[in-house]
Amino acid sequence: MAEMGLAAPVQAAAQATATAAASVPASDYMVDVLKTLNLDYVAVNPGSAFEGLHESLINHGQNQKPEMLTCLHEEQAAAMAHGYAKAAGKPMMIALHGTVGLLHASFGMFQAWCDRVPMLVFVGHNRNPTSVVNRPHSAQDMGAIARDYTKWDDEATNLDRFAEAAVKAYAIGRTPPMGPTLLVVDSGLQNSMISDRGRLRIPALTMPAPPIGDPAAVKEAARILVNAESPLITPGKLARTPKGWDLLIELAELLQAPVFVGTYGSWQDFPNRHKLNGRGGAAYRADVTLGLELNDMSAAARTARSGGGKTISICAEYLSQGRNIHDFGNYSEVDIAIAADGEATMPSLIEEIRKLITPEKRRAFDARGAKIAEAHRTERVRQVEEARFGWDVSPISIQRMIAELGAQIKNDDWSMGSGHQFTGDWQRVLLNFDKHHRYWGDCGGFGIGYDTQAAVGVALANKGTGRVTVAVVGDGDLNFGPGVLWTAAHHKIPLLFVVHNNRGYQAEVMIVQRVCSQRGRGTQNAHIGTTIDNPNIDYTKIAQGYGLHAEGPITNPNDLAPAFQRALARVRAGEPALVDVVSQAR
Amino acid sequence: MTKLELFVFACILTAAIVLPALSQNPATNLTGNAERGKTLYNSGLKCASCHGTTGETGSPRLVPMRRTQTDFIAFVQKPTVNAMPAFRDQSAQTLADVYAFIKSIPERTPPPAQSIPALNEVLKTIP
Repeated sequence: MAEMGLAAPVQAAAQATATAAASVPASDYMVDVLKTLNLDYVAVNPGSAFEGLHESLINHGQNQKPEMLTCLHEEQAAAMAHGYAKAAGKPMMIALHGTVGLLHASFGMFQAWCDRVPMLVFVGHNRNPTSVVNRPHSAQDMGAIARDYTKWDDEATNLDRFAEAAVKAYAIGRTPPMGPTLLVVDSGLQNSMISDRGRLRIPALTMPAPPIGDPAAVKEAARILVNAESPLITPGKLARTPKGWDLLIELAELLQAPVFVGTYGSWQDFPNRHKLNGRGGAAYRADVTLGLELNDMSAAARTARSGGGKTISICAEYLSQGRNIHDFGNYSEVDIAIAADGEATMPSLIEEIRKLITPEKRRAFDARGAKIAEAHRTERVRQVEEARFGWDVSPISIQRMIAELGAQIKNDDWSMGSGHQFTGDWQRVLLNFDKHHRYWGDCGGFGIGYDTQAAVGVALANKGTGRVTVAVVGDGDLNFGPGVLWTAAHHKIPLLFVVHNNRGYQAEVMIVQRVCSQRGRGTQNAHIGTTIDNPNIDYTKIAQGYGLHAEGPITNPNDLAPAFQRALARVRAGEPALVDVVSQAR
Repeated sequence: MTKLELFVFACILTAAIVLPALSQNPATNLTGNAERGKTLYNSGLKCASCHGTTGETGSPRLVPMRRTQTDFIAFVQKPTVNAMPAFRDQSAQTLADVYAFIKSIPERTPPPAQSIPALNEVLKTIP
């Protein structure tokens, strides 16, 4: 009813003002919920299906906690969140447009899933599309698009449910075994106005304690390990935190057992210069193998059974085996299987082992440890001596590229943001991974495109800590997501990209050759479809175009050190930089 | 059995084992074209993908090449290790060219790691 004394247009305006004062966008409340989760960043490529949330994040939320990161591709957002979560020890949020944004992000989410890394994925969903443009961005079941590589997903239909789902998604994602979780949120719900903000509460986040191994099973595992002649510890994705790193050192030293960190897929978990790092030497034959967060011990179990040995597995993945993707590994005929988080179970395992060690055992363990230490030293020195061959060749050897980089950062508190899948393990040989934050492992799903993009996430986590982030990225990898260079420049995320520019998908060459060989034809044609040359790509110009300090292509190995020095000076000052190194294939 | 009989028996046994093997790898004496071999090594057959452009940086190192031309051709056509694909479709002449290129790479003994500053830094970190 119109108020007396006011003309109709004036009255309408007054009503609108009053309504506006009393109502707030629902997406403001969503931001209030998200702020309780202690999220530092939300990575986005803008999309109209989450425009309501977008506006609330930057205005109502004042673009703080979470701060918005502008990404040039949604896969970049997911890969950055992947790297960030490993280095920061907590998830990043990414916000995606319905269907198309989710599809673009899917690969990065898949990698994080395979790497057991959490991220909070928010997908805007226009459930009532009105145009030919929006209809493909709507779906019957949006979460189904990425369900095979998300740990949990939900679609909130009202605000109470949104709040519960957001907190639940965060908690589920961070409980081992960890993984991405996904929230689908109706665009209409984001844009609706709420007048009863006071009624809407935000559930408190209570993080579940990670699962710890059954005491009796842990006790039996301790007994077997203490009585072993030659135990071997094989961690997979174990040390989520520095505490996990310290506990594994304590466990290994207590048993004087070698720790084989593995090759692809494992995190660093254990210092690579520790005297117990490795398999114990050529003559060491493990009679008991302890797997910690190693989701496939089938080969080790087969070997042990055929030779009278034993295997023990402590792994959270017994609690969740995923759905469609075969990354969960083969069934392993181990002697003891403990469904529990490896890092959380190590204290009780250590305690049980400590109880069983007699002075006589201690002497035997120490003698074993001395032999392992000698074997470790011999092997490490041999590997370094191998690195000197072809020291002066051009294209530059990977060994020299890594060693020269290591020499330049030896006095920094550095952190490697890329994996080692394409550098032939030389990073683990030539760099000193003496701290938990030195190296964050590989991509998880063994798909190309992780290193360059995830490294920016690692660098973001390291920003402000005084750490210098470096990443050795393949030219093939860089080409999957070069736009992340701009994000690093725009958001002033300091890190050094070293492009391992071998001008091809060299790991694939031999694979194609093998098929040619099996078919008895054309082994001379394997370069077709596997090389990236003619024309050679100028990564320096690309990086400069995105706003980075960049140098290269470096072809003379003697030019490496000065180029690294100049680039690192920029990184230490807070900028990203890139050095393009024309390198040997592998 | 006398010593002489033993010796004769051993010779026969050795011949039975070795001669067939040798007959599988008849000695070749092909003239290799190192220039063509270099192109094949780096671009055509892509040997450099695993062994490095100078045969020094990959695995295994090819320099110095200790195999004879005959053994090299036989091995490349039918490797005795699983890691390497068999280039059985390549002619002896083609592989002789590759062999000539590898043999043309001068053998260089690198200085010890200790004398290379970047590698010496690595050595210092090994306990």
